[in-house]
This record gives sequence, structure tokens and C-alpha cells, in this order.
Amino acid sequence: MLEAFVAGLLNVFTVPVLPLMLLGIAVGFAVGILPGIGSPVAMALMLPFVFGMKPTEAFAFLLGMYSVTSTTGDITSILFGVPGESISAATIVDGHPMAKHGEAGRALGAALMSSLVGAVVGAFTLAAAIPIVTPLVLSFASPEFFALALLGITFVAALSGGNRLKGLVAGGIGLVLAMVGLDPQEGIERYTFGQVALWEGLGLVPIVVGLFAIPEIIELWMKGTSIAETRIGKLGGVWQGIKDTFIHLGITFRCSMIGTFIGIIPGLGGSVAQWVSYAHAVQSSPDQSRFGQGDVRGVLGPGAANNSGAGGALIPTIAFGVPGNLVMAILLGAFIIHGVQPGPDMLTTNLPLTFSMVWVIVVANIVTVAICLLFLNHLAKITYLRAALLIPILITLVYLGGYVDANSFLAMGLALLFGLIGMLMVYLDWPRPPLVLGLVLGPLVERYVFISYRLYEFGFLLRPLVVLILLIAAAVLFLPSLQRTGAKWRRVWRAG
Amino acid sequence: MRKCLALGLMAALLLMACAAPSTGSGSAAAPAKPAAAGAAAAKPAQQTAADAERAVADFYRGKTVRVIVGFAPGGATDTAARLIQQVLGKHIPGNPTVIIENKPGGGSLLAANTVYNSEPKDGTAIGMFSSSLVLQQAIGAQGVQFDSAQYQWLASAYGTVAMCATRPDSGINTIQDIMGTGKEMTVSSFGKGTVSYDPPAVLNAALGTNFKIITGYPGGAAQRLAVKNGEVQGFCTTFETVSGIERPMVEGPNRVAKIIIWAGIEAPDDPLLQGVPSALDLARTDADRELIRAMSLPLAFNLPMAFPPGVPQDRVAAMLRALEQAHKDPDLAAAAQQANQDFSPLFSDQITQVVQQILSLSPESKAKLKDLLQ
Repeated sequence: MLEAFVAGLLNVFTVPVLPLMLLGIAVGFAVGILPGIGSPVAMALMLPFVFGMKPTEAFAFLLGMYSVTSTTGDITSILFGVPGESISAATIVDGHPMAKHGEAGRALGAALMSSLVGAVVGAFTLAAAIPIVTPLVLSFASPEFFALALLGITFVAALSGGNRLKGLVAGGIGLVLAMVGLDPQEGIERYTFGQVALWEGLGLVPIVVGLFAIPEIIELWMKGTSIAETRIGKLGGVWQGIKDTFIHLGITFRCSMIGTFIGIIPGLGGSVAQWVSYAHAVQSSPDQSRFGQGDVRGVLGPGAANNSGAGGALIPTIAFGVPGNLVMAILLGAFIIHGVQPGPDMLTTNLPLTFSMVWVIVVANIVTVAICLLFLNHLAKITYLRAALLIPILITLVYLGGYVDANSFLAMGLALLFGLIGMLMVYLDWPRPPLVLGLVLGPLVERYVFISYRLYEFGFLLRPLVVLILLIAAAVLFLPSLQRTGAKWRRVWRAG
Repeated sequence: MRKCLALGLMAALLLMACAAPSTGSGSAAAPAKPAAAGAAAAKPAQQTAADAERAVADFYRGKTVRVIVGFAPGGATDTAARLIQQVLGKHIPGNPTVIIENKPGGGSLLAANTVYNSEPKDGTAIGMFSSSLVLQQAIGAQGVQFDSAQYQWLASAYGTVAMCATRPDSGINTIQDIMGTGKEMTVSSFGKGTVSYDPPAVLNAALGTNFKIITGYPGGAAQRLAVKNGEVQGFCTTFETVSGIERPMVEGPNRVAKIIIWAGIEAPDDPLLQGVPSALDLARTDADRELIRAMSLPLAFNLPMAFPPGVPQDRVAAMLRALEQAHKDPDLAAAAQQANQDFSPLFSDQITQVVQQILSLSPESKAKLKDLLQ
């Protein structure tokens, strides 16, 4: 185990591997820094080049690219309020308000450093978890997936900001939107309006981009100023953000663990992990008033979870051939091209190769953070640019991002539609994150509740792991209000 | 500040240049060689052939041919397309750049519809999608906006058969265990109209088997994970899947499943199928046999490439020749061997023949299949 861990690390520094990884990082950086255009596009573009490479080289190249884009995705989320990736949308909620307050540097520093901590913690958690990964993954069947998805939905409350009722309704709307497409059981068309392009449901990228980016762009346009409304000197700087990571090390660390484990479970993945860890950051903080207005803890949570999840997501991909996201699906393509067989062997005889992949993620993160730190303070200055200069570029990129996601003009229309909905929600003060969470988890809940019922009828609710997860869900849902009630009674008791 | 802006603009321009060929990227084609002008070609027939070749080469030179694949990048389907793409360009007259463009949706129905109706009909857009869409058209399924009889079929990637496998620890060891015994076997499926659903549904109707099909799994890998973790008792898919990437599931020390039936016209030559009964042999009536045959016919020409109607005949002929040569290319053979892919293509007329067989199924079979598969 330890030998494989070290061998994997050494492998990363061999000659064709390291330069190719750096090349991957450079490509990933160029594409990832552009808002709305994510790693799946970059990787699909680069896939033809991996034909000529050896397996370790190909994985170093692709994973280097992937690791960077999850970090650079955070950068555009913070600077422009435009998610660079669908997995970095949660960073917007607090990261972008920080940029508006002139704290872009601090938010970027926090996002980068938590990404780094996340990647390292993720790698070590993974190394420690390897012996139990196979039984762990195999012990999760459809009923457990259902329970986990339900647990995810209970975090809606934490994502609702001040108004729980609006949050619940927004989450419900998200669940309804998730129903668009062919139903997973009978293949019946639901709200597709005769469009085959809608059969697979609404794309996450155009919705997230529309919901978050377009209202920001319009607001920027209306104000006609720069993104940052106020200037703060040293305090808003990068170093402060780095220090914040270690001041709130508990949150960073726990969210890294959340990211890794959600990554390991096939079918959940980064889109869920970022929101759950954001919600965890909110719930575990004694003072929640500043969340949504620019609290650095709201940046640290998703920042860490994104990058730790990258390592975790490798596991179901390589050990079971079940890709957790599009990037992992593309990685599987590289597996096939090189005749590497995903399967249990990847956790035993091929363990050095597996670990070299994990190490690529860690090393690529370190390189990325180091490069970013060099010019992060300059990058933050973009927030002082006049709106008129930024808006045309942002709008072009947002629509391009919508288009390349599925090579379809329909996606651009969706981005526009959800831009309007996003503006309406901002205007009426409705929280947007619960809607996204509902949209992400809706298909999982539906899928697995039907499979579970068909296989076990209601007996699936009595499986030990399901009971345990549902108890946790109940605790998440009711504990805060119980604590409040308890505190109230204690006060009454003392007073009485 | 100006620098930042300039940087941003440059980045945007760079991206647009990259994004133009969307999610594909071309393999660098060798510089075009002018077609050898046969100075000594005295016979008029030869001259016309050479002229035609030159016209095609002139057309394709410097152009980009897009293979529009109906599935997302990554995975077995897209990879098969990309292996062919790697060698195809050098065999087309004029050596155009060949790129893959992924257009996933509706189990590749979106790509089949788009190529037929709205892609250019000059020979620069090739569709590559699931062959089962032909059967979908035949039974009048929803959403089909093309006529398979009008598609100009070029070459398929491989032919295979359907098969079902069981976990022996579930108490089911042979197909007879679930035929008229009242015993039921749960199989995981990723939806109607796919190889995970159609075979067991048709076998239930034709052989009286008792497969309980659990739909809703998000894809092939998830379908098989449900077998590995014991959630379901078995699964059905193509033999190509099990003989290739999932071989350890049915062979060797870690095997969890056993093949109990195959359905198709001709059994692939593989020890895994030795002693496994064929569905056609077990069927009792001609009507039952026709159902099984209809379900397995599309598997004979998996992942076909096709030009939409309207592409000029000389370009169709040239592309067909290019694909024939590509499939003989040792580079493709080497890459396919490394990737564990077994190409066994059918070409133009052979495909058209199977397509005709599917489209001319008896109205009873079509009605029955529509009932079963929709």
C-alpha cells in the first residue's frame, strides 16, 4: 500500500509524464479561466491527442487539465459571478459578494488555498480508504442512493438564507424542473414539447450559468461601474484569504472529507458535493448572519470539496467503470484507448497507476495554486475594470458556454430563460441555491425510489444503512430548531 | 488594466478558434497530394473514373469532414468512432481533416434526426448512431424524423448478438429455471429501446421467460454495478460488451455472472458462448422466431455511419471505399487490439439489406414489438 503510494508519486515526476502534465495544466488553465466553458469541453477537445501517449502520460495530461479547471472555475465564480464549471457554482454565493465588497483577492486566496488543502486531504483520505473502497461502494445499492439523495435535499434549509419557506419552494421548483425529459422508468415524455434535445432533461450548465451569471451581468450593466463597489486596501488581499483557510481549518478539513466521500459514491459527484459542503459550512458556523453576503467560510467549503472530490470520483470510475461525471466518462475513453481495464485490479495489482493518478491531481493543484498566487493580486484587479469593457466578453462567453455544453442552440435559449428567472428571483429576494440542489438531486431521488420500490417494495426503508442515513437526515432537518426550542425552554426555566 | 483587457480579448479569440469545431478536434491530416493525373490514360472509361476521383479529391481537399456521433465523449461507443476517425482522413481522396462531433441525446436519436434533416448534404457530415433506431422507425416510435430507407449507409463498426446473464448465487442457473416455473429473475436496465431492455422484453413474449425488468439505471456501467453488488439477479446486454470490457464479470477468478441465453442470427465464435442455448432454437412458433429475429437484426450492424439523402453518388462511393480501406488499415487493427475492440464491419449494400428486412417486418410483428418496446 505505502509502496504503491510512494511509487505513484515518483511516477508523476518521470520525464514524459511531468512535462505532459504541465502541458495539460496550461491547456486547462487557458480553457478553465474562461467562464462557462468547463473541463469536459477542454478534455473532449484534447482527447484525439492521447492516442499517441502511454497510459500514465495520457492520464497525467488529462487529469492535470481537469484539476486546474476545478480551481480556475472558482476564480471566475468569484470574480464575475459566472461559474467556470457546474461544480463551482456554490463558490459564487459568498465569493462573488466578497468581490463586490472589494475583497476579491481574499476570496481568491481562500478558494485557492482551500482547493489545495482539499486536494491533499482528498488524496490521503483516498489512500487510507483504498482497502475499504470495494466493500464500501458495493454496500451502496439503490435504496442507499435514495436515502443519500434525500439527505442532500434536507440541506435545502441551510441553503435558504433567511427565508426557509422561499427556500423550500425554490427547492421544490428545482425538483419539478428535474422532471423535464423522458421519465427513467417508462420512457414517457414529460414537458419536452416535442423537442428530442430535451429528452435527457435540462442541462445543468446552461441553467446554472443563466441563473447566476446573467443577473450579475445585467446588474453590472445597469450600474455601469466596476464589479467591486468599494476598494479595500491590504485587508482584501490574497494573504488574508490564505490565512482564513487555516483560521477555519475545521471547515476546510471537514468539507474536504465530504467531497472525497461524495466523490467515491457513484452517481453523486461534484455537483452535489459543493452544495452539501456549503450547507455544512453554514450549519456548523455559530454565526450564520453573513452567509450569502460574503462570508469567507462560504468560499472555503465548496472550494475544498471540489478538489477533494476529484480524487474520490476516480474510484468508482476506475474500480467499477462507473463514471461520476462527464470528465470521468472521457477519462474512461482514454482507458479504453489504452487497453487499461477498469475493475478491482486497479485497487490491487494496478494500484501504483491508481495512485499516480491521485498524485497527479495533488501535484497539479500545487502547481496551479503556485502559478495563480503569482498574479492573483493582478487578477483581482479585473474587478475594478469598467463594466462597459467586461460585459461584451462575459456575454459572449456565457452563451458560448451554453452552446458547447451540448452542441445545441437550445442550451443558449435555456441560459437566456434561466437568466430571466434568475433576475426575477434576485428581484423578489428568493434564494437560488436550493433550486439548483433540487435540480441536481431530483433525478437521483426519482430514479432510486422507483428502483428500490420495484425491487424491495417498502422493505427498502428498513435496510440498516438506509435507516442510519435517514436518521442523519432527520437530525439535519430538526436538530437546529430543537436546539432553539431547548434553549428557549431553558431560558423560561431559569426565568421561572 | 489595459493588459488585463487585452489578455481577456486574446483568450476569448483563442477560445472561439478552439470552439469552432466544437467538441472534436481533428487529427492532422497529411498534406494533400494531387491525384495522379493519368497522362497515359487513353481509354475514355478510365479517364472518366480518374476525372470522378479528381473531382471528389478537389472537393474534399482542405475541407473538414465531421462525424456526428450520437453519444457523449468517452465510453465505448465514442471510442470506437474515434479509433476509425484516426485513420479515416488519409483514405479519403483529397485527405480532408476528419473530426468527431458529439451530439448526444435521446439514445442518439437527436443525431440521426439532425444529420438527416439539417446538416449539409455535400458529403462533409456523416452521422453515426444506434442501429436500433431503424427498428424504432419500423414500429412507429415517437420522435423519429428520418426514413432509414433513404439514409445512404456506409459502414457499421461491428456486429454482435444479445445475451442475458445471471448471478448463479441467486438460485437461477439456466434459462429453463425461469421458463414456466413461476420463478422470476430481476434484470437491471437503462431504458426501453436499449439492449438492456429489448432482449428480455422480447424473450418474455416469445419464450415465456419471466424476466422482471427494473428500469431506471443511468447507464450500462451502473446497470452492471447493480449485478456486481447483488441488487439484481442478472442483466442483458450485447455480447460485444461482455466479451470485451466486462469479460472479468463472466470469466476468471472474479466472475460474478454466467451467460444463460443468447439471441441473434449467428453466434460469435467465442468459448464464452459454448453450450449456451440460442433463443431462436428455443422458440416454438414462426411468429416467436420472427420477434426474436426482429429484435436482434439491428445488432448485426452496430454503430453504422451514414450519409443523409442528397449527397452526390461519387462522394458516397469515395467515402465507402475510404471506410473499406480504413478497416483494412494495420494502424486501425493495432489501435483496436490495444483498445480491446473487435471491429467486424458491414458495408453499404449489406447494411441496406438488413435495414430493408427490419422495415418490411410483418404488421403483426411490428404491432407486437411496439406493444413490447414502447
